[in-house]
Amino acid sequence: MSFFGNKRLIIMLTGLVLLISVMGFTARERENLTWPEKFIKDTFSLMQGLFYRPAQAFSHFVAEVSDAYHVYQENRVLKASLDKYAQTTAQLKLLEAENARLRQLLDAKTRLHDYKLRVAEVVARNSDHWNDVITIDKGLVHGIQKDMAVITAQGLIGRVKSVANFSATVELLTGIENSNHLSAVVLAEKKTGDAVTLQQVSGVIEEYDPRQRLLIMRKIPLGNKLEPGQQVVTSGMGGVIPRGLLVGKVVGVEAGDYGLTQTVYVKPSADLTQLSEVMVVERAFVTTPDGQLVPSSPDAVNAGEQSEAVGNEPAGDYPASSEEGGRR
Amino acid sequence: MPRLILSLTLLVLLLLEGTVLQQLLPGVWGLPWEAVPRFVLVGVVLIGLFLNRREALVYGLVFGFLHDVLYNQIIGIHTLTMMVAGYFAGMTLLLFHHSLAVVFSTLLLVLFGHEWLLYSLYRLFFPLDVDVQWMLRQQILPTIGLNLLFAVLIYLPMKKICANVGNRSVSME
Repeated sequence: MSFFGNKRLIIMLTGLVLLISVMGFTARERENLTWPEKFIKDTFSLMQGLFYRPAQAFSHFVAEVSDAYHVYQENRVLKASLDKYAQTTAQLKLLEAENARLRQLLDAKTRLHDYKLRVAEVVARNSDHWNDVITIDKGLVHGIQKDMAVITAQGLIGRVKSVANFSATVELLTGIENSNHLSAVVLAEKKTGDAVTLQQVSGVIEEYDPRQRLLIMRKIPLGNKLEPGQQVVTSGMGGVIPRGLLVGKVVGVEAGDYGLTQTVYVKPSADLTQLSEVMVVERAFVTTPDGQLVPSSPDAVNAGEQSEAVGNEPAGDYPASSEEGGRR
Repeated sequence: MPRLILSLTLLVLLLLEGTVLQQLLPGVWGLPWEAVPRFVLVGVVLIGLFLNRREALVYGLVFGFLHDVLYNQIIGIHTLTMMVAGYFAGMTLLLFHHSLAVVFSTLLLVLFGHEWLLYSLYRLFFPLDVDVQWMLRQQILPTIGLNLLFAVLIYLPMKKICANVGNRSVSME
């Protein structure tokens, strides 16, 4: 008792109780941040930006120097895939035209999977194994909202976890404590005789396995044959994540718990180790918790009606081709 | 003034942790380990060793809280762990005399204890299923290594800054 004065013991205990109650309070899912949190996050995101950008530039430079050794090899591979790309583009154009014509016939004006992209820069990262998060330099005033999907040119990387006025925190797919589940589909091909039909097999991406660095997708119905190499995209069912964002590729299939479902291991297609620019996806239509489909903002509807393009082309004022060109 | 320098040093460490160091981590270069920079913690532990345990407790509280607000959903986890880490680092001086060996063995123990406490707190709040052995080998040990390396770098400057703060408070009394 003499070691701790009586007063000190009481202060310590109250402090501990206070701390644990704050932990318990903030552990719940929260809609909005309080203003002191927003203020701290905004101030720090400004300062962190000053550090992150030069560091990023430097490490890009180093990476480019080491890339220079592989240029010849890479060029050959790229040339080969470029020929294929031209063919695919032509096919895509044809399909787009057909799709538009059929839509006109059906009188379907709005597309539910339209979306808009907002480019944001990463200002900081916390690579804690418990919660892998990045901070981006766009916030509420730029139209970012909680739970929006965040992608890079290569694919989905995570979703917005909390938003301050001028910055937002993005929870990456690799966070272990990632408690949100993601509805996704595997693009499988089914061969019946000669015809090959594309099948969408739905499931839920539930967790990230840090040991194998793979996402685990569960609740896939039996009876669909899945193979490594097939692509996994978001399903767009519910919430604010639109359809068709690339998540990754299947690398392994096994029977699920109790043998009633299948489990698939998915390798994320985006490189999550080096992030500099990301895009936040705003869906034109959002499903509310009670199941209604509402436009996310008035201009989003207009954008949806005007754009003749396929959903994965941004309808906003950011030209997609130049962005992607700049990144490669 | 010396206190301002000390606080600013820790602030810069906090900023470096989230930005510059993220470009230099082993994971970025394709290595299998994952190390987390905990430079503020190293700073707080050194404050506990060079100044006293109460200072370390306060610095740990403030910077742990900042870390929580900036990156974590749950506020209070790092506040608690860093506070405790700083205080216990200061406690070793009650048992041992100041020496280089004591400083680094304290750092080793505190860094390990901090990761362990974090692990148990997250186990408390989230239903996690992470293999302990794997966690230890791939993440906790590389983290300790990285931060010890950093401690070697910052040892002398930190000693100087803390000495300035210490002189100042002695002369004011």
